[in-house]
Amino acid sequence: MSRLVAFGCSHTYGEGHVDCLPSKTETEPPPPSQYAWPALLGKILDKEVVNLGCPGCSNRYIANSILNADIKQDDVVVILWTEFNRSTVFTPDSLRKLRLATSIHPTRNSKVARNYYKWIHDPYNSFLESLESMNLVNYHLQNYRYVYNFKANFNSKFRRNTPDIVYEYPKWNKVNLINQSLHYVDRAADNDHPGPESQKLIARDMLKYVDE
Amino acid sequence: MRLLAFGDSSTRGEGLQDVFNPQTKTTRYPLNGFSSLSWPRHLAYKLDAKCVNLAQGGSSNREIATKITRTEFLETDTVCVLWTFPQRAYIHNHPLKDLKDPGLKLSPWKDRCKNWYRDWYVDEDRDLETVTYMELCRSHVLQTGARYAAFTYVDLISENSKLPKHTPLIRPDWSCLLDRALDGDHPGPKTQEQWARRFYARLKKSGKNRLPGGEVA
Repeated sequence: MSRLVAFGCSHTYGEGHVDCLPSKTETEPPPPSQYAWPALLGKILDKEVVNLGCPGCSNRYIANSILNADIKQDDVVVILWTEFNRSTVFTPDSLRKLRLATSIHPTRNSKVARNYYKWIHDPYNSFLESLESMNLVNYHLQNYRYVYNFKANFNSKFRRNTPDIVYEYPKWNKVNLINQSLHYVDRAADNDHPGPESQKLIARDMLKYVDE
Repeated sequence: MRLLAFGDSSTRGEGLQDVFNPQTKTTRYPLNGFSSLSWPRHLAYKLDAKCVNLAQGGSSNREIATKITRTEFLETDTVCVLWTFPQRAYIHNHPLKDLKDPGLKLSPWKDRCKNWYRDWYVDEDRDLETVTYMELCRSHVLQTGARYAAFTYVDLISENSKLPKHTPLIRPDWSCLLDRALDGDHPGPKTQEQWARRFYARLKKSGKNRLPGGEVA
């Protein structure tokens, strides 16, 4: 049985849903949500699902997960790329998978994140950094038949349908990103992420491309 | 046939005797923009190709990669890259950018960058970034049909060094250069010739097309 291998951020993992809320007693994070689009899409396509979504991660982190993943020729690979403005600093321990890499996220109130957005961040630089990661993955997966690149549209959180990419793609870019609304017709239990109905709509949209 | 070379000051040939004035300690390049004693020039001669040296002093690997991805290659081109120190970083379009440059260059040798290196710098993170650019550019060039060879300083210098093979990219043993240029800092003419030979051997090994002199790669 071929697999559906999904990569992305919290929207792929299903953060905030009732079946994967963090526990105060468990040290390991709970498995990805059954309400998230990978589980729903896998069910429709009758495929085993490998959900490698990671909450709060950047596109650089997603690319690194893909390059390190064991992907088989007949796997269906679906990537929901995240917000461009995030970044990651990989540490020796994170590369040895002993702990998570330092995640830099606009809404995270850590000292690292605050300093990054104050001194280092430039939106165009983040856009190019993301495209570099995406293109590397595109070359890495060029011999795989079933690869789908979606870009989560963070404007949909504010009920805007316009894509959140404001820059013109550089000529060297070879990745055709499909604009994917996060719908936000409802909210998950954390009142922040897309809820079960929104996840169903995401899976429905993706099916139009994946089913072909 | 063209040889397109990418890299930093060592690829451009900084400090070599045809471009460096030891009295004034200044470098002045000819119109073509590079030293005739630099490794790309030697390599182009061996390949019987026109030398297009697109190296720039002080470049980071990100700038080198940006230049490679923005260059149009022909199927008949040979593209050679000497990647620089992963410590150097670059932020596109940054508000604090230098006026001459469309972005902000970060280097451990610049005093004003010391906070960035104190708070943000992780060796392994920089190594990973360089590997990303190396892979991205290799794929980008090869899909155009051009021939490609690349080295890092660690690769190139390790031949003369006792360092273990898997030394991180970050710490080339600069003391192992065969000689130094007139500025006392950059690789000298013998080192440049040796590097050209190593690029030539790698191109031969990489196995595309027939090399000049009838050798089949």
